[in-house]
Amino acid sequence: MNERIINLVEMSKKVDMIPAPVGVEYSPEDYALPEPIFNAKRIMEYINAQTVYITESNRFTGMLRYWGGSVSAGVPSDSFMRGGHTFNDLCNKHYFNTTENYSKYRENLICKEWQHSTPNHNNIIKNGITGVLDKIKFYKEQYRFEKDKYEFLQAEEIVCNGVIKWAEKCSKECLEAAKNEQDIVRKAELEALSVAMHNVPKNPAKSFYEGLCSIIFCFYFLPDSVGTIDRYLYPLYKNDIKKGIITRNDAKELLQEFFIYLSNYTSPTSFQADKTAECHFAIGGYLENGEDGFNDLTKLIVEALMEIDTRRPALSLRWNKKTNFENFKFYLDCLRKDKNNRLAIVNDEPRIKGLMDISGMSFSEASTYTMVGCNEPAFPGAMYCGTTTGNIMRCLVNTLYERTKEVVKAKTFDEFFEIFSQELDKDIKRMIHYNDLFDKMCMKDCNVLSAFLMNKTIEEGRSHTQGGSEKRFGGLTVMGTTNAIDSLSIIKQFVYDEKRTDMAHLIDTLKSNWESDSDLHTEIMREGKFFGNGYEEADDVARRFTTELYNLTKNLNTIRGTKIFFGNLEGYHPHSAHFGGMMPATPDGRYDGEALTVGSSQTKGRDREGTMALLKSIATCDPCCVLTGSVVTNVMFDKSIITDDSKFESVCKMIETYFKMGGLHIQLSFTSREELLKAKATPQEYKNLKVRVSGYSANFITLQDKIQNDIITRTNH
Amino acid sequence: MTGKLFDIEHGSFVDGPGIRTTVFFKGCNLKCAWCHNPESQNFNTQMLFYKDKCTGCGKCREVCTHDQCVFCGKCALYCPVDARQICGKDYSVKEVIDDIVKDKMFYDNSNGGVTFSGGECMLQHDFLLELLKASKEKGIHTAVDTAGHIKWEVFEKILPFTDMFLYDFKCFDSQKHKKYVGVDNSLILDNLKKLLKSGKEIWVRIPIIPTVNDTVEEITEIKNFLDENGKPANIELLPYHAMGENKYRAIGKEPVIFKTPSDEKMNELKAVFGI
Repeated sequence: MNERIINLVEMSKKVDMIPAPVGVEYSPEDYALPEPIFNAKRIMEYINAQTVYITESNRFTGMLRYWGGSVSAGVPSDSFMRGGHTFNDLCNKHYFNTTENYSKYRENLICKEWQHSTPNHNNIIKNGITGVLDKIKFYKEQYRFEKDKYEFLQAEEIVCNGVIKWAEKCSKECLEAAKNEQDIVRKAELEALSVAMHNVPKNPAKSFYEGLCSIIFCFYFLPDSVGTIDRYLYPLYKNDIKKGIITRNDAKELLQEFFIYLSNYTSPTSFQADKTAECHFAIGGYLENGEDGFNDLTKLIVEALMEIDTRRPALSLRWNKKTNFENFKFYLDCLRKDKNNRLAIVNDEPRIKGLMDISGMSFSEASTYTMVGCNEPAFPGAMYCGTTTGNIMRCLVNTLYERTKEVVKAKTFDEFFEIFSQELDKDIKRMIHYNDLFDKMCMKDCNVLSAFLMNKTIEEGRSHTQGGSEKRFGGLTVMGTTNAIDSLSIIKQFVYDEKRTDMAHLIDTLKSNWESDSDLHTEIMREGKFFGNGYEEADDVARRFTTELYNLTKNLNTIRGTKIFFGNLEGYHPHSAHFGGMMPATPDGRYDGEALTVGSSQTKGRDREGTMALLKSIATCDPCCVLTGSVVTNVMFDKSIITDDSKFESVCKMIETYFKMGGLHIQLSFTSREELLKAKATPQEYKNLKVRVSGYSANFITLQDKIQNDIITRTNH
Repeated sequence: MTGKLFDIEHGSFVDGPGIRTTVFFKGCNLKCAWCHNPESQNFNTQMLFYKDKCTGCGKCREVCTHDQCVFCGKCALYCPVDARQICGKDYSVKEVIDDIVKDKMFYDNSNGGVTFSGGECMLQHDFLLELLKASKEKGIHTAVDTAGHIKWEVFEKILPFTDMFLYDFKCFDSQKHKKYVGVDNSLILDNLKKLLKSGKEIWVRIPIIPTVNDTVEEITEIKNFLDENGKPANIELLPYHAMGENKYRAIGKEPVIFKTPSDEKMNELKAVFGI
């Protein structure tokens, strides 16, 4: 790693590598304009008024902020990440909870969360913005009598021309800087950057360097996942290497600088600065032709990232049955040694199967997915449309506490499950109702800036936020999937199979918060057949539960037209603690107010048979592949795995076997319960201890108390 | 047929190649001073009582309905602080095999399998033989972890169904062996010579115990023996660890205290074998 990159890394940890925003005076005449045109005009005036990013050593430019100090763009910036969506913000005001008071959770069932829009950078690299403008011209003609669509396209035309103008401004100022530069090497760099910005993103990229320039330039219009760069940049990379235009080392250096800017977009002074979820993309995986896509650029991306001490981007390797074991082992080796804990692994097999079976996609369509955010699957050019977090345990509580008379009469587990399924159905529909409600509000946002980077917006004459875009991935993220399976399993075992108690007594005991029969609680905790231990009885219940989720939702769509997939990650806020805090005791041994379990893991003493049993149970619990949304599986390994090569090979084989069995996701922390407890007790001594949380990693000591407690009780190998 | 076991551990990386399930047999005919599973030595079911955890709540007395302990396990089940643990349970061959076979996909993918250990598994050789046969019928790789202090005829009986052996080599000097292990090592060494000629894969495991065998001279004697009698496929030097000390007290005994050897010492001794 050269000195320039080392210096850039150090800089990225201290300062924003984005020029301070420049305020703009807008014309009051703008108010006469239709809204999308008003927004487009103003946002492009704002952008073109900004300072071009030129430093002593940058090889990319276009860095932007839409607010800072007293300056804001003055219009909805719609740059997704933090602000700029009027109706999304209004919806958040009423339904997105960031405090401990539960006030914005609805019915202890649901609250709003974030959405993701993933740009299609490959479209710009291949066709340039001129390609988008050609399409706009065509569809303006098609929609000339449809006012809203026509105005939207006019707005997009303003945006596209404004982006070209901004790139040209960057090009000119780089050329000017080059003229005044004495250092020969730096002069050449600025000239090359000027040439690149003169071409991209206006026109298709002609080189690997121009490809990266285009991506990073457009990143500031929609700062989400950069998608599957090892596939769409590969032709440019391969061509440049073959022709001797760049060396592998040159490409690595460019990637490192590229990653530094991605990482620095989350300000080093932000409270999110230690979280990897702010930028996440996927590598490898099945190509559209069914071959494995791990190539030399894939490997180079990982190598480049490993050498730089940044918190982002996060990477997920897409494993599949054709993944070469040596490549897999290489990736896992990087994963165990990465002190920034940025790497995770997802499995193509169940996800693609789910997309094909449930969403009706073809293999080639489904194979183009990437990973974004905390751990959501998404498609380049489309939105991830799960904007809520729900409580899947509420229906079980309602079954037991509200329909007591009926469940007490149930003679078999099947009869009980039938009643439970009715409540599950009600709650799923209620969650979809809220999901759709939030989306109806958010669909009033017309995002003109990012829309040109999304698929089908031009063809449909509306922004992706309004519902124009394709191949959306969506569904319901819920807390408590493991609690639900456990509770059902305990009911089956204790009430129906082994008849150690009856339903009436169980419910009475729950109502007393286990006080009236603490021996029963002890028996359940010590002898209960909990999920994640490889017990066939519990695994059967798990399959029944996930199959029921599938059966209840297979004919449903969200308002955006997506099918329902379920996820269980938590994000930055302890929803599991909030939902659990409002719920009484449950048959899985939970006490009144106790937090729900996060993800697919098992915790709090219910995991008795170790990591392999956990992985087996998780891998085989979802035959319908409906639990393939934003799902996380957390496993802790002892730190000795990092340095003990003799054990490492077996770890690789263990994880590979888990994926072969059908496990969807895994993320690893290399620590121990003891170390985490010490970190909680004396945080000042563990400032750099990083753990995987819920699809992302963070510094353990910065996490909220409730999230720390959940991590401490996870299964440890 | 049943046998008495005290644990079945899944996902072991250290008891042979690949990912393995290790089946721990109860009972041993040696009394190694450094044994980290002292509860494995007694052939009978035992109660482990961790006095330092006990709060004196009396729950164990409250739930017990017997005049004499019959190891029903109720006191252990209801103890709120896990101060009690029953060690040793009778298993049928089917119960063990059903448990082992759950991880077959992991074994197949990693060239792993099942390791029978203990205690000394070869002392329950009829039960062991049935388990080995049943494992081979299921296509599972088998390993036997033994200290080797048993008549050769028992080895002969299980050899056809055992893919490899993990063989403990504690020290070469017979008098020292008798002092710290309870028996001299002549039968152990004889058996090892024969095993090394049997064509089976042999891994020799040497526990490194400070003040007992942690010298270059001692390790060199072991090396010379192995060089003369057939080099094993693998040699592992295992540093003493103190994790079992509390278990001695739990069965009413006092542990012999050893120190854990330093990394430098381990490297020095490994260098004798060139590892």
